[in-house]
Amino acid sequence: MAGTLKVGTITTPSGSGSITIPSGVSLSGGVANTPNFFVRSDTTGFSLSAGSHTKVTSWTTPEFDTASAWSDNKFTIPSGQAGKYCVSASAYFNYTGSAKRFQMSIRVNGSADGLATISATYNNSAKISYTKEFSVGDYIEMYLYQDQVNSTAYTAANNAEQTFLSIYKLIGA
Amino acid sequence: MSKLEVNTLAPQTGTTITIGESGDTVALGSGASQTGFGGTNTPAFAVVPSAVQTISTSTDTVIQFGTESYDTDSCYDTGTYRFTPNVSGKYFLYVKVRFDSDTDWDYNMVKIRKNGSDLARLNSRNEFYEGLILTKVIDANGTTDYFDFTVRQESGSSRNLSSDAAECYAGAYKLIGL
Repeated sequence: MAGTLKVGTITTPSGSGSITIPSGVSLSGGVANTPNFFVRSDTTGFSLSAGSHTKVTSWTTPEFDTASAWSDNKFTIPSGQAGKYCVSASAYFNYTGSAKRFQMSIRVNGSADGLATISATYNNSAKISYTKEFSVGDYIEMYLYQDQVNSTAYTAANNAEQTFLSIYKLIGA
Repeated sequence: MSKLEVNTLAPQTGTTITIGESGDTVALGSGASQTGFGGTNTPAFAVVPSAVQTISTSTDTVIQFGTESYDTDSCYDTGTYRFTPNVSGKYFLYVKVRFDSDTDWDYNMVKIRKNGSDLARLNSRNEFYEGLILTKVIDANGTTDYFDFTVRQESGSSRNLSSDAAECYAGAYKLIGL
């Protein structure tokens, strides 16, 4: 039977104890880690020059983007969705030489916020996972960097399984 | 369609209110929010270093994350560097560290510990500022279980952890429905 229930408080007589949602019943409309977003790079990647921080633009169409917050290779916190988010990312470096510094950075509003530095020795990937409080309009991008002393450019982000960006909102945090 | 307007919904007997039956969807209206239903990713916290920390060689050392970015339920202690969740359940924990050194050595290890015992480990060589990141879903009893993070390096001399908040940090949040 359809109906509307308006209450100020749902509680037990004692003010504690259990309010049970039976097994098999789902609860929707507010209990979801949304906005929720996931995108992978393509399998071509791009040529990463030495000594300069380069924005990743080799992304494919997002596998999901519940708030349509992805545009111009960046995720922007939508109106009404300020709060704490979990950001996870990985970036692949196609490099098999002797060890040197490669870095993936998550930038917020253009400034480095989370950094993952690796010494790539054989097709290594840099990974990051953290939570942060964001405001509406904050935008999140991925940048890559390498500082090979021979100034050689190397291909990066050309592994879709190891180059991705995942962002989702925490509930009530 | 019926409409019921009340301020308090309480069981006629006992202490349990049951909403819906199997197969039903209990939906909140557009724009409505809920609290205290268990459906929040809290407790949650995020911390960063408050100062440079020196790690002696070959010594498991508790990482001193002394500055809170946030701590929704005051479950992280900046004196003991422990996270003691006050709600039972499963949590996603993460920690990232990096030594402030471009020197190479063979052995670094970061750990997530529960009540002082190893729960997860990650080891790696130290090569040119390489960082270590470790994540783990953990189970907490909501009362006495505590979690902290340790790091170890075997370079042969003391080494400093980076105090850069973008390089060293940790945090956790509660998972829902597990």
